[in-house]
Amino acid sequence: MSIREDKVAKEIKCYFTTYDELLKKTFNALEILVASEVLPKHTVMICEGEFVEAYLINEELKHVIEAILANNRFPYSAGIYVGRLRKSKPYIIPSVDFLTLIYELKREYFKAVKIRDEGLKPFLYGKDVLKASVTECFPPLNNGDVIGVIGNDGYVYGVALSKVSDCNEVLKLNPNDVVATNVFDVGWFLRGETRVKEKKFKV
Amino acid sequence: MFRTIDISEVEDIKSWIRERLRKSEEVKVLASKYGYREYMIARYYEMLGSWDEVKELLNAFERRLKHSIRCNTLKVKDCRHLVERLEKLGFKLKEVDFWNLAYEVVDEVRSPTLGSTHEFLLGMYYLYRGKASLIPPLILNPQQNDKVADLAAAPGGKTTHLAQLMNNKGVILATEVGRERMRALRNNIERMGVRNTVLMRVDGRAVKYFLKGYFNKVLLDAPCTGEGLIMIDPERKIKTSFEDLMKWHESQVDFLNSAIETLNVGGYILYTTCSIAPEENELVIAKILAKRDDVQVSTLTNTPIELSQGFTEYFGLNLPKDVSRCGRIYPHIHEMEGFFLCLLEKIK
Ligand SMILES: C[S@@+](CC[C@H](N)C(=O)[O-])C[C@H]1O[C@@H](n2cnc3c(N)ncnc32)[C@H](O)[C@@H]1O
Repeated sequence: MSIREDKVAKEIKCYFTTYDELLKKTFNALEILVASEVLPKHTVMICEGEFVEAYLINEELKHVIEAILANNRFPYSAGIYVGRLRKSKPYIIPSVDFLTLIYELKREYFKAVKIRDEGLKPFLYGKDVLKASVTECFPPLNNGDVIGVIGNDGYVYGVALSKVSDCNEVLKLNPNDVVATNVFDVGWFLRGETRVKEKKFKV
Repeated sequence: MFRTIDISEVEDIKSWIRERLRKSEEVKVLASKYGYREYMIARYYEMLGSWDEVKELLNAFERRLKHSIRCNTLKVKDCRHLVERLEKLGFKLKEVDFWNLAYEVVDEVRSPTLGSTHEFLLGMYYLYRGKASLIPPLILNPQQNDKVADLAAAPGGKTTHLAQLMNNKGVILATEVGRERMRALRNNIERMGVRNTVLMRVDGRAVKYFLKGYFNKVLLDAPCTGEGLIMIDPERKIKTSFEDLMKWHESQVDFLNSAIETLNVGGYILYTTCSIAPEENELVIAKILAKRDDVQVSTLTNTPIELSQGFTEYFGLNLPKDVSRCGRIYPHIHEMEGFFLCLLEKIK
């Protein structure tokens, strides 16, 4: 029986690089700066295919990946998934897992809004965050920045694009005004929106 | 009485078994009553040795299994917190008797479903259709500095469990060949906060080309007919012909043979299937033992439940006696989905 080989495989390129390189590509994204501080020994891996994705890799994983790359193959994903890189703003769309890591390790650097349960449900159906559901704002927010969306229970439920330039601005909005637009949330896979969302935030 | 013969002396196992499949009245009656292919019933009699026990098995396959969940300690510090949250939603949970971080869901609510709660989306638990799937990672018992390969990994129930047992340390290579199944695997890995894993969309049999002898623990949860999952998917009563079953057998032998190449000397491979078919289980192990002299069947340690023994005789075929060290899970005995586990050690 012949071994099935992945045809798509050849179109993807993965390589190791440094935090400095990743910072350059993301125009000094705060989350990456934090990661370089809290996980200095990790190597950055970038995989370029339909999307450009970044990962943080420790020494043990690096060894396995090197063996894979040396055989002209590539990993599908590995280690800590940092997120997707883009050529225009936002330069990086961090993964929920990566944001959770930053939230756990360096809360003071975590840009986010906290939302009440009534707002969480629609958010998990892909809807935007409205002023009425925001209970707390973690600065600094800038218009167009990627921010975390936290539930009242303190868990990170997704990633959104800020529509406000600072937390005080939220106070001035009407209840139905959008504070942040949904980019990615933990309900995404369940809703089967894989392709749609992937296209929307294509590089 | 049939004559018995050493399996290594039989060239065409398929014909050997086919010729011996009983076509009695009982076989016909039970096959029609429960809706199975006749050859399956004939095999159940050969496996269990009495019609009463065959009926017990068939009746067990008619009973629905309760869902189980595994509390994900990579995300949840105190599992009581998860239990409280789910009970608030109306679920009733009971600790699984063999592992205190898993719960059987004894009562469910209509909405939200267990696969759509916020707790699920946050990766606080993994949802199982039956609890037997919890057992292989507990038996493989990976440690924090282990190098583990999970060669047929999607959707990732066992990969994420292994990562939890390793506390996100060490390394797991998880391979999967199906495109959509790989997406599900990746989603589960990220949802559950697993960070010690390399995912690869590749035929698991190819790993020997680039990481030969690298791993000290390998899980091969082999693709199979799913003949242990009839209570979950009754289609399987008629889905697989005897011819197809034997094709599965061939590809499982091939997969296991390649998988062993990825092990270092002294390393262990756990071969599992969610099937009760000896053709996919003991006969696969017997073929491997006949092919190679660098592996031996290990006694299953860390077994959280008492398993039934692997067969050493099937339709007059004598299998190596060490195959009895493999373990079986039966729906009518263990009240779980049917499962097979066999641990092999690479000795040279
Ligand atoms: C029994 S399922 C694995 C279940 C998984 N271990 C879990 O616990 O969630 C077998 C998987 O192997 C995959 N598969 C089949 N042939 C394969 C191959 N040659 N290499 C890698 N994966 C394969 C199937 O697509 C399927 O997802």
